[in-house]
Amino acid sequence: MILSARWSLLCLACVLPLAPVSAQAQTATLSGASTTTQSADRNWALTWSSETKYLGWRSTYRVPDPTGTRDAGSGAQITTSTGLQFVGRYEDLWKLQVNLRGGSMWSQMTSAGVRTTYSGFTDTTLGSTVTYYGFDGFQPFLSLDTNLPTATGVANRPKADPDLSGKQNNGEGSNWGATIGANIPFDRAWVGTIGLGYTYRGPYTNWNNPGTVRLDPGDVFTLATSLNWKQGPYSLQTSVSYAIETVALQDGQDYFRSGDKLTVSETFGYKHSDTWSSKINASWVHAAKNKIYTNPPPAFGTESFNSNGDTFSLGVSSSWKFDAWTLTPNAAVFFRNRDDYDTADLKFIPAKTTMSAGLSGAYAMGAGAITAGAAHTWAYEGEKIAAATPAIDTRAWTLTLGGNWKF
Amino acid sequence: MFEGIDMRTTVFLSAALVAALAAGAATPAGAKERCLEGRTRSGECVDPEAAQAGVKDAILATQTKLSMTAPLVLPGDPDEGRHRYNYTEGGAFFRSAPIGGGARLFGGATVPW
Repeated sequence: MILSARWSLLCLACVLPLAPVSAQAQTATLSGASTTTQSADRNWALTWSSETKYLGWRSTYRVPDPTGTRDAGSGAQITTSTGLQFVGRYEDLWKLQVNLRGGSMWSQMTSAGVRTTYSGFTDTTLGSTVTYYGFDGFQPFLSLDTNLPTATGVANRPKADPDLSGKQNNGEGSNWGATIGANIPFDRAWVGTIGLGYTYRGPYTNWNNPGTVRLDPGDVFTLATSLNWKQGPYSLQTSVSYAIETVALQDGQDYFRSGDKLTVSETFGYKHSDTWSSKINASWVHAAKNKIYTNPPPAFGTESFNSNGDTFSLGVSSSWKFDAWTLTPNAAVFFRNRDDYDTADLKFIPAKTTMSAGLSGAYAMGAGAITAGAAHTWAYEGEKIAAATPAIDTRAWTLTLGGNWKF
Repeated sequence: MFEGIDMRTTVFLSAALVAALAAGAATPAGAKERCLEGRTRSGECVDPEAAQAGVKDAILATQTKLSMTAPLVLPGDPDEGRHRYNYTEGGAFFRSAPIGGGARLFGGATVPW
């Protein structure tokens, strides 16, 4: 009987790997998929996330009295963003990911005694991506995305320096984007990705000063490639993209064409231990000369020099986890090299340097977390030729408070 | 040595062994490791983080101008600023405004001029 029991156990050991092995692998696989975490018991996941960001800044630039003695420019911007992400799978062959994000914004600027305020919704984006896993060595995907013009009033002002706030304008028109591409895994750790995207950008009325204009931005074609590597504690991502744009119209007339843009970025991550990880990322963006409207339309003139120039950015961060807490100190540098006179636009484009240092934290609670962060940014924009455009020194604080929950 | 094995046990073990082999031979796909992010040409599971990072990066890189205010990631995503808008170019776009006046973008604010 004893031997019988041993044989039975041995036999169980033979049989068990056929079924539970997949369950073990499934757990290991799922544990690494932090961005679309799903339960092994179901084929869908829903994530809610919200964040409120405060940006307060103070600058030496004054308008309309740039060299005067009146109060320096200052301003504040509060942005609240909320998003939902759904990830669903069908028989491990198909994955559907849907993202929805919207929010609101309040912005105020004071310069030389003049105060302007903006308050309203931001635009809303809805994106969906379908990925097919039926081919070994090739996983195609298709993404369809849209920007819905929910912003209440597309005003060109007031807003903070977009290099600080990350927002070029308060809103825009109906935009539609499509990206088709594929992952091409070379082995378990190395994955190449190629994507071809098109963005249609719809017309909208921009409340300029004075009056309004009807802007029809150029459409964008982009080819993007990346190489992603994940092995043990190491991760690496290298991506290169090239974008070209069509001509933008203003009130029905040819107006502006952005220069072609090449972007190269690199991210390296290292997990020192189960509780400590670090990341460093760098990027370089080169944009060719813009073509801008010259009188009379529709003739275009290429800029006499490249006002876009090159931009470089470098960021480092390190995260420590202890119990339910995660703390992440971080620092970043941004540099724009342009330092020339724009004869077409009759202005001087100065070089610009931005440096920031901050600390963010998260407290995990069940299937979610509360997040918070603070960062101080110093931005220096070189002086221009004219006395009316001196160098600009800007200091800013960014505070964030948010949370997320996985259902 | 095998005197402890009776007929019932022998039949049971044989049946289990046959069933195990049959399961392995008849449904090779079932024996495969479940791969949520696809397989390599040799059938290995692709690292899910590397695969997801590739798709995410391709979409963000090709849709940089989809929205100025609501990026295609959840709020708080660390990749939100990975493919940033070209603000110098955007400044030139708004600044040029030959019809209806213009606005200039200077350190910290867009201001009338």
